[in-house]
Amino acid sequence: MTASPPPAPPAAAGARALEHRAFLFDGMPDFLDTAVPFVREGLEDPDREVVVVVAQQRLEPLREFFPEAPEGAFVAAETFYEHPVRTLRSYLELVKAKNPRSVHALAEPVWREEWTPRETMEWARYESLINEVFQGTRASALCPYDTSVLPEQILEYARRTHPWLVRDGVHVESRRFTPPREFSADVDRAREFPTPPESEYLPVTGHDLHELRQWVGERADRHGVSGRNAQNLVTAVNEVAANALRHGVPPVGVRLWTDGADLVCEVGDNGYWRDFSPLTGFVPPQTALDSGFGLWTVRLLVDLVDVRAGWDGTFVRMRVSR
Amino acid sequence: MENIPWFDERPVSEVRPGDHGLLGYVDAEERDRVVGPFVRAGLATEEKVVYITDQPAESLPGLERCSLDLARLKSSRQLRLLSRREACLSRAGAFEPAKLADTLDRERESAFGEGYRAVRVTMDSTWLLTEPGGAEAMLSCEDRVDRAISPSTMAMGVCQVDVRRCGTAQFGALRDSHEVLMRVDAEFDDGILTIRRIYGPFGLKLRGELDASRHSHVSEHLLRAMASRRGDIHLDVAELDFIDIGGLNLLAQHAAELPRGGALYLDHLRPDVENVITMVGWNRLPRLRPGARTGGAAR
Repeated sequence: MTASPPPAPPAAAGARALEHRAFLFDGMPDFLDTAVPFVREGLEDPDREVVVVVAQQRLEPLREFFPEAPEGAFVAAETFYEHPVRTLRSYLELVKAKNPRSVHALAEPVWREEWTPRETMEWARYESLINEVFQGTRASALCPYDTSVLPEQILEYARRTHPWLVRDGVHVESRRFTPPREFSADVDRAREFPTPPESEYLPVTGHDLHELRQWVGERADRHGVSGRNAQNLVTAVNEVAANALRHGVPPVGVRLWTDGADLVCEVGDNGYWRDFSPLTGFVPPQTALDSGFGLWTVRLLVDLVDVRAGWDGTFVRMRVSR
Repeated sequence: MENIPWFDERPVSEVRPGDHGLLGYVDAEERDRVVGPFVRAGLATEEKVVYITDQPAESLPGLERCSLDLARLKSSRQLRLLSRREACLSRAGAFEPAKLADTLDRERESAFGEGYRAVRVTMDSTWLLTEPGGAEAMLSCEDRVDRAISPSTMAMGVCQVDVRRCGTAQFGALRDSHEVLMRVDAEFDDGILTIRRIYGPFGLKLRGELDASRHSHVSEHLLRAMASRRGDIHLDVAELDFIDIGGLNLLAQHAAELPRGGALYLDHLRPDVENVITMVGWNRLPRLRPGARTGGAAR
């Protein structure tokens, strides 16, 4: 190992800002050349707490360099990156738990071949949100991207979601970097909302949502969503419907259909959500008393939430796997 | 007391002839909210009320500061205040189980003769349980009391016991000899959500489903409970099947209004409900705390 750690980005005098860098590597030796000095730098700094989350195949080869490092510091990425909104919450808890030490993370997101472009985009959004959610922390994150196997689209996401890039031990500013709000808006624009060929519809007229919960619960059961997933869907749909009744414009209704392996449920109303932002419900609120707590919780409860706030109404589409 | 099966318990307004109920109270308010309605409901209708006590009528639950004409009720024999000596003590002042049973039989028969459709009997037995040998004496007469009340189509009885003074072990033994446990009436019940005040520990029991159309009711009763006691408030949610996200927000809002250092405990959380809280993290619900576990003792 001869490579030296990548030079730190120029930081403002005094407080260290969030460092979020994409590390583009090609093959195991190239990976270790940068990853080993990075981990060592963190282990040697008493003010930092090292967290290594990398793909299973890279975990052992890297760990061999640090036999004395605490066991819990090395985690397989496959178990950490399961749900973007939940992972972001867990990551934030981790950063808070380690305070006043700052987190020094080697964090390799998982990109699965079987994912739809849409699912891949949600994880790219997650990478982008890191810049927003951790901006006030002194965390340092180096995110490995394997250029030998990852498609160009994902590498392009890496350049757009990290302000800094590391390649061959060289640290450069990413000219393609896009601020999180803008990136998230781009993700939202790329979405499609096909109308389902067949669906069930329940108009929500009164303020008592008891009937709606039963309606959703029965259909979840019928379509193979059970137990906790069904309960979570009911809680999510109930919340969105309660918001539509409170802030939206009638008619309010719920549409439900199946889409391959997923059950989809959409709550719509005729109102225009004027102050909707592409980051709404993505940034974890401090407490339940903060605005945005409801939609953030809805995003935690189901697999995917799509909010469409347009001139023709507000539609919140929730998806769970069957 | 809150993890006893539901079917054993009866709100005081649903008491009916043949009921031989036990009220274990931990707090004077709890006693007053059961005995008060029990006594007043009898006096408001064509029922006779027999209260075995050495206290004056004006200081009894349901009768103090009430608008009833107590003198008239006593002279018409609709309200019978029997001293312990008259009802169940020997000349030497010792408790006599047989005398109590005879008193109950006699009062029931005379009420029938006087034309009352039912007779309600109550006594606070705490004094007996705290005497040496009193618990055994009381248990030995429960059978006879039961025979005087249970098969009857017109008698109802409520035995009052201060659990703080007699202890939970003695109360447990006593509970087995009563078919009905008395409890306060629900403060709110719309068929979907029931809200009832609880006393050991103090707070509210929520049963059913809590959603946006019921937030204001929970808020109202929670604020009342908070106003009447200092310190922690417990919510027994063992039978709460659903709470919406706005409901969690509502509880966090009220918890923030508790006096400094106080917390709002969620006792006996069901896994489905707790799952949502674990998902968002307890740390996002400041001053809301997980309380007693299901099946465990109240903390």
